Amino acid sequence: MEDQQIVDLYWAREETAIHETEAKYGSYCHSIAYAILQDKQDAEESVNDTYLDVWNTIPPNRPSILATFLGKITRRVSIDRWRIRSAKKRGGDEITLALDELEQCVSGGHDVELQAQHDELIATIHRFLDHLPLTERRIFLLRYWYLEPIQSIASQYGFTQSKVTSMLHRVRGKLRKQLEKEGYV
Amino acid sequence: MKSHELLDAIGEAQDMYVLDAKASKKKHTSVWAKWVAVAACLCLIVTLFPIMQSMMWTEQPHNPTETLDKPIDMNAPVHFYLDGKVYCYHGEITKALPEGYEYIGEIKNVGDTFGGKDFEGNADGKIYMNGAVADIAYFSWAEWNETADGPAPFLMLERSTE
Repeated sequence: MEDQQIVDLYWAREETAIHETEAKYGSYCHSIAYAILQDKQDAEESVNDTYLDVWNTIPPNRPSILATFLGKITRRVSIDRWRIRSAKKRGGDEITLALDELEQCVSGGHDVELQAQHDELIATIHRFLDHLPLTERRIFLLRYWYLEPIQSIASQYGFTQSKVTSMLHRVRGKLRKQLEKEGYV
Repeated sequence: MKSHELLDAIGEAQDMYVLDAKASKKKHTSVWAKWVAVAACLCLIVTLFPIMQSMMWTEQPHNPTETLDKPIDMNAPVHFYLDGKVYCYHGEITKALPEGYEYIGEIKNVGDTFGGKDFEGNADGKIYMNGAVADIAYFSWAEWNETADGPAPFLMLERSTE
């Protein structure tokens, strides 16, 4: 089914939209979630949360590229789950857990100033990516967007792990310079 | 600024770059295969050098201004050579091939020099063109995995004006 048809199903509030999304993009979302969580069950739950999030955000959204729309939600949901799981693993950190739970009460509202800062940071990242050479940009995103292991990136590109590590080091240096230039650090 | 804020901001990277990173996988060449290739090239040079030398004495190069004899930059955006011009990706990506465009050939990923032959470029993929619109081509990756990565997008490539 075409992406546009799937989006139309969400707009019509047809529950088959979720089944169609799962059939077409389930493995894509799962691969993103699993790379972050490294646990099959947690990844599964994150993907299910993604479908719920998509159901709640379309409408009003009408994504032009459904794959990345889903990918971004899966990534965010999985990173949130990872943060909660890490807090639990630390044990006895009830303050962190309580803060995470309370976060749900305030996350719907928008602190205008914080949102503006976040938007500015995103714009900085966009400019940074626009000026990166192709291979550096791809490797940077595989590492810090898809959170893939260095070993896996090296294997995909036929590079040694040390080459990928040094390339990432160089790119992080460039990012730091840009963040310094724009007053973030 | 904290690292988790940076991680969240990176999560909002441009869609086209996110798709491109997932779709791109440089071909892995084993070390022995590289040495075999180098040896084969050396043999070819030794064999062809006398012939090329004699041809250079007898024949002027054919319109040398039309050839682009320069290294292919593997770090540059997707680009390829066709009919005396370079077509280069400028950032636009579409979900479907526009009407009137059809498959015309595959990019040969030569990897080292831009010799001026049609369809030489820096990425493996298919090229689509519309006979009525000579300055725009579309590219799709040869190894896109639709099962894992969703439907293959098309990159818009613009013909250079040089």
